[in-house]
Amino acid sequence: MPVEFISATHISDDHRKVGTGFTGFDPAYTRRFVHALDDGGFDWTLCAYGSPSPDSLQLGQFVANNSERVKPMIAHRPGFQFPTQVAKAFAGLDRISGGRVGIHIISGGADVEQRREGDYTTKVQRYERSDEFVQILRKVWYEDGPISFEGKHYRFEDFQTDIKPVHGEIPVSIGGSSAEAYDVGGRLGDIFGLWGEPLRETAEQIAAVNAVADAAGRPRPRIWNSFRPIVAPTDELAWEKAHAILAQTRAALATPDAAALARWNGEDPQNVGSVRLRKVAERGDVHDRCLWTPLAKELRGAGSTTALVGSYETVAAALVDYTEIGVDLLSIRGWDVFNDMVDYGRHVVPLVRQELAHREATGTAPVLNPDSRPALAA
Amino acid sequence: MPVEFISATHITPVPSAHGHNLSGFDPDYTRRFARMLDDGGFDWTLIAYHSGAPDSLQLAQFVAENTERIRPVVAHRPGFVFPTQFAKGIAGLDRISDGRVMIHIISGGSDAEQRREGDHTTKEQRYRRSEEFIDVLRRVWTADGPISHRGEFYAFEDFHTDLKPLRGPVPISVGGSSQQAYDVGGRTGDVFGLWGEPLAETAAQIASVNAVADAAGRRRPRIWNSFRPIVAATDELAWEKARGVLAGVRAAKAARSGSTHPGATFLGEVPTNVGALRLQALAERGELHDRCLWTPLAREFQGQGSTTALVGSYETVAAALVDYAEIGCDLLSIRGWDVWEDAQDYARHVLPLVRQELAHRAATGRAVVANGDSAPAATPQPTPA
Repeated sequence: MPVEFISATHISDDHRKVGTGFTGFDPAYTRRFVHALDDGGFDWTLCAYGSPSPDSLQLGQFVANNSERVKPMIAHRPGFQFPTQVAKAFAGLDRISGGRVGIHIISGGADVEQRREGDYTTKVQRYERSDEFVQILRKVWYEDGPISFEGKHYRFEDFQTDIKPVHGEIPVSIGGSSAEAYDVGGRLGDIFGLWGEPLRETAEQIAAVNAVADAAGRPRPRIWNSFRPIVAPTDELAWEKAHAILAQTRAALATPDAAALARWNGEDPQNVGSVRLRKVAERGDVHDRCLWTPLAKELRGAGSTTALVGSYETVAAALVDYTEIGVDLLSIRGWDVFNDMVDYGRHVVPLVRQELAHREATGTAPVLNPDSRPALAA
Repeated sequence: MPVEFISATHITPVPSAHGHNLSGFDPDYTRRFARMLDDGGFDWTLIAYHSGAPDSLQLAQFVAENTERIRPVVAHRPGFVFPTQFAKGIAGLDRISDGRVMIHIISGGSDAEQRREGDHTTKEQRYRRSEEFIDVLRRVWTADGPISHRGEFYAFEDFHTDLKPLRGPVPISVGGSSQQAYDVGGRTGDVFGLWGEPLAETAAQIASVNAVADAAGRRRPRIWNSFRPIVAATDELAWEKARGVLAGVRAAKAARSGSTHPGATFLGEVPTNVGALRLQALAERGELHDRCLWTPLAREFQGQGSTTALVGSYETVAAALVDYAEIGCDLLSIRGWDVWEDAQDYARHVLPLVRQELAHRAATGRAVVANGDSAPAATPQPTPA
């Protein structure tokens, strides 16, 4: 399967405003954003999940209804809706959208966020629950007769529906950086999601997930890696832009609203993925070709916060580096999100696709990445 | 507020889907059906809820995005989605659809059906849960800051979102025919939903709901009443059609007998909800009530769902609907048996007659056009304007 590009669905022009409970959901803006993603040639767009955010399944259908081609990758946190219902909703949306839906399971990294919607489980219980949840989704989607289930977290009798995925399959993505995440993802994921770390650390994480999949006798999940690139016509202009974004971010974080939001988010997030990003940031500002971590440091590693900085060619080459170690889905989301997304669509996505097509056709890798290191491949 | 018309969204052209566990969900058909209702001048369309059916919130957005005017009534059974999530789902849909959404809360009448999606509560618990669920929805929609909640069924801390419905809390309808349903509906409903019974019984049910609302010091809910009319150009043709529908339903039932098809299993279940028992008792008492309320189809379906018919010419059925408007029904739900053709016939021939008659009455204070023999004396509890 070719490398695919993912962006995130932004729902407000006011997205840099911060504050607890803020989403600013604006359907008209969201519609324009989705049109631009579709026109820009992105394959997928993430519909994020958070307690204040719009219901991701509603947003997912809104994306599908207003686009032709881009596929909503809908984040879902098990624990707030019964799995048979979620399975039906995804299958129904899959039929409505002509088979364009994916589900990204997040188990929940912060206890305080879980309690906002009445979930008082521990992290270990949440991963167990995600495991049962994914099993149930697949039973509902792929089994014909009435189904019953008796698990630790879910129990039901004689559920049956004929609402099935249109092309027979809905990809399930699982994300995380803890051992529990690798375990659930390796055993159950069609896709495994990582945040942007240096090549060596990324290769190690991929190997950990693959080891679980191999042990379970399953096909290895496709790997999805997330970055927040900062691009410009030249490397110099891109670095100038990067420092400006860092200064703006620091200024924004110094406001009382941001301080309140940091408290709301639990200050330094304790999920392993965030802790890892903070560690990478402590080791140095620049890694590999152009992975830049000061924004991750400022934002305490909360979410995908590492940048790739450089000209369109430099960033495209860096993205190709990741495909060489086994990354199949490249998630790129910007800082000035609408403009950055348009730039990626015009300048970065075509370069990466061209380079990969060239390699496939010629078996050589000379155009963007003469210094590429295919030996790193896991 | 004027009388409004509701029809149900149908999602498959296959008639045998009625009442069974499988849905046959066909997006292209559903899109055409929703557009036809929109063009026909219906005000609302019910998005039904069942364990085997498409997710009603997903289907509701699909209807809203494919229509201009008609407003989805999203049926929802509490117990399977956390209320904060559902509140956000509805608020987002309300913004996407430019404020067109209503919710219809069903508490769940069948234990077996609840267990299909892992709900092992009793009916009493379900009604209490529905009431708590509605309270949480309204708090999420109106709160400015973080909210916490500790109740019998739900507990959470510091939930906070700026995602609110477009014009304040969306209307909530509650349905049912038990005292518990009247209690929850009278205390919390903006709308209360009934199945089609004779005028006297309907007036008594409305009075029960109003008494609860009055005692709670709340505005009385608007009343929504559901029928399955059988109409034709003349009364005679309509009765011929009615007997044809009944024969068809009996033949389908005979064909299902002994079948292991999941639809057959579902229809074989004995309903225990009060609404179904009331329709069964009504059918035992007689086939024809009032002007043209006809019950043999309800008997065939054991009163499962809205199954009583109004049979007659367009004028007769319009007059019967006006009878219900006179005793305080504000929302008239009409869904047919050959659902597409019937919805088109209602839209062309019945809706305009009812609207014309009611407009005439509002303008002149007299009732002459479709209901020469109308009996406003049956009005025991006029609902407030």
